[in-house]
Amino acid sequence: MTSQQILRIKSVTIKNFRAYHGDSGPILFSRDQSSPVTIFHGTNGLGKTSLFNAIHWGIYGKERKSKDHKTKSEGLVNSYVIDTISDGVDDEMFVKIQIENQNEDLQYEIQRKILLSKEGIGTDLITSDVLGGKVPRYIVANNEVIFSYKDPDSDDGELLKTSNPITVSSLLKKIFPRQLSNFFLLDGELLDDFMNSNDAFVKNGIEQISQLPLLVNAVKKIKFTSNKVGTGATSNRTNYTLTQDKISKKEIIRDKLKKDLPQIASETSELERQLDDGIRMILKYDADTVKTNQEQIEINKTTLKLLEVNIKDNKSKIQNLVYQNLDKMLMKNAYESASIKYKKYVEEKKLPSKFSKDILEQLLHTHECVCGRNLDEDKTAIDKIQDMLSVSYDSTLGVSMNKIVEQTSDIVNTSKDNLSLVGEIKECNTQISKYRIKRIDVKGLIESLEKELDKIKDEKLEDIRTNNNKLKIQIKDKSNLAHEKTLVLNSLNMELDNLDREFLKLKRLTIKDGHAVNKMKLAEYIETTLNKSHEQLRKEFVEQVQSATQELFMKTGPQARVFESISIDKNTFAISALRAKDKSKDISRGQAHVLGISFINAIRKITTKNYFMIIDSPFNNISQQERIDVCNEIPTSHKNTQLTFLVTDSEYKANIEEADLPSVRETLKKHNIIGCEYNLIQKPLAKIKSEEYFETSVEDYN
Amino acid sequence: MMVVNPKILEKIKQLIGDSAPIEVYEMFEEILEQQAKYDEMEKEEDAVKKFYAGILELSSKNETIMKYVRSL
Repeated sequence: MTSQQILRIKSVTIKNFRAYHGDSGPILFSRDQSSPVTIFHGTNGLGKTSLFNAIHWGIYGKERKSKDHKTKSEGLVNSYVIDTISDGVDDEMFVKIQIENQNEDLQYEIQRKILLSKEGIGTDLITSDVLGGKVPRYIVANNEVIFSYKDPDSDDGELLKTSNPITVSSLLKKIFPRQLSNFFLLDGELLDDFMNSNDAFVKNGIEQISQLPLLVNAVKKIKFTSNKVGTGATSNRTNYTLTQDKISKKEIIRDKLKKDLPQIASETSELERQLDDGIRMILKYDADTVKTNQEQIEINKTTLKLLEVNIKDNKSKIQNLVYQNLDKMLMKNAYESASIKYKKYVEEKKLPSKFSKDILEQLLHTHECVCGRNLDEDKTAIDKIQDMLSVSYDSTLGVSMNKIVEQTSDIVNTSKDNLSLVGEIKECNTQISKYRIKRIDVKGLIESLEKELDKIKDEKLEDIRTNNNKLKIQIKDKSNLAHEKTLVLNSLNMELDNLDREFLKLKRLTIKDGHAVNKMKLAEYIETTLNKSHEQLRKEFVEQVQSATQELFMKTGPQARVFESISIDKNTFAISALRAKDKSKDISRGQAHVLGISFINAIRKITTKNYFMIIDSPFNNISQQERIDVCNEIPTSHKNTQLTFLVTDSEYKANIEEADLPSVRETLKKHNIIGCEYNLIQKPLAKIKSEEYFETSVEDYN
Repeated sequence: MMVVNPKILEKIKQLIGDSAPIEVYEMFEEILEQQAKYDEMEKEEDAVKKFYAGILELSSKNETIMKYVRSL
């Protein structure tokens, strides 16, 4: 079979993986060659990366390492499932991935599972390797994996099945080599990792994806078989065997060295990453930063005080409004009826409109109180009134009576009605709520700033510096080791070349059997042809990838015209863009991002399998125009490749700031290449005590 | 059937040249396909050893192939 095998995801089923609760059922991916794009759209934090990681975990048994290398405390299993698991009721988390080939035959099915049960009562949190986070001690978790694959010896649709974890791991490593994950499960944030890479990870990945090791492995097998033929046919068996053993031993050492070197490079790279983190920490937590942090805390504390005052003021205002108006509110009806009655009495001439001494005397003589009570039967009251009148008519009773009339009238006319008072109180409450929300924000800010400061104290800058120094020494040691091993490898290669020549001579001189000679001659020819193929292909592959990367990057890269060419290091396969001018100037993140996309796309041209490609945040670091350019190139640049994008709002929908440009969605729609389009929706799941649980579901885009 | 990178097969074709008999190309194709199968799928080491011994045995007895090899 000579064509490139296409691998497409048919469906992914998720149950209880992180944000996803319950069984999602098969989520179908687009397998239509003319519309190969599947979109998962959702705002940040809704489970895009969880979906991406679910696929990664399904294939590799572990999640994709994030750029910031943060260790998540939450485990792989949905927290609601963990928190509500009951005695005697088992539960599970699983990810099932179905992958089909270009003939729409199911090629692989991977189902990775974690079985959960509750045993014991220990509620303290422990770190579980299986669950990848901290869980209560009573949770017991076990891994299970089932891998089904098309029988390579059969052309029918029969799938072979294995659930032996070692066999599954070994098979998956061969089909989806770990290094290859960089080429089909991409984190948009990590695209610039392909640049100036100094470890062998990328190189090994590319070699493997292009199947170059196949040639080397075939050479080894042919050589082994040929040598065996020679052992039986030589006239100088001792010398033959000794030389052969010598070569074999040296080859073992060489192979080990070849294996060790990338490992050392990878370890060095990890140490360099740690050192970078350490240096960043030092820079982040220098004296100025601490001072700025403290100032920020003070400013926020002042704001907090101000907010407290505002809340208090509004509360007082409500209190005042209530106290001042409560009596009026409650007495309003009484006042109103008194006022009406008074006016009626005045009209009926039963009461005067003004209370003077004479009028009061007259009233007294009628022996009737203003309330209509006959005072004749209450001599004490008459005497009291007469006493009071004699003391001070005008200054006391008259004035008081007038005042009562006036106040009653005022209260009736000016007291607020219920609605306006409620409105004022409501307004105060609204203000209080606003201040309270702001207070929560400010408190949170202060807390995080204080935590940062504590961290500085906890992590002790001095310790970081010491650790950085240790790391520097380790890096130096590793570099020295790599250098030494490279020297040994070079000298071994030379020795092996000489030994091979000697061995060849020995073969020619000592093997006389015609058939054996034929076999060895043939083996020699096969070896030479395969070796030449390997050597030439490696060179050609680098050139092809370089030219295809350059072609796409120059079409879609942000301000790509400032670059004159793209270069790929033939030893490490690390990629770099060469500027026409300002050669020392760094490439921007957006440029690196598009360069990464161009590189990955170019690599597909030399691969055996056209793997599906899933990109988390594919348009993360680039402008709207660059997004459109990349989308416009998809129909030609990613021909036959199934593409899945996990995108945010800002990446996918119209950009407000650049409203004159179409959105990514509009551009993809214009090319009619979206086959499946989903929205990730978060819904409340349950509330237990104060803990709220949410679940993410995958729904058709609307 | 296992897939061998078409570029590898093209390169082999190019290296053995147009004058080479088809049997030579088929021998390489067989070797690479079996090796690809071994590389990707779990196969018994013994089966692979037997395959290489067998292909060397048969091909070396194939006069067309050997005539071509000797002519180089």
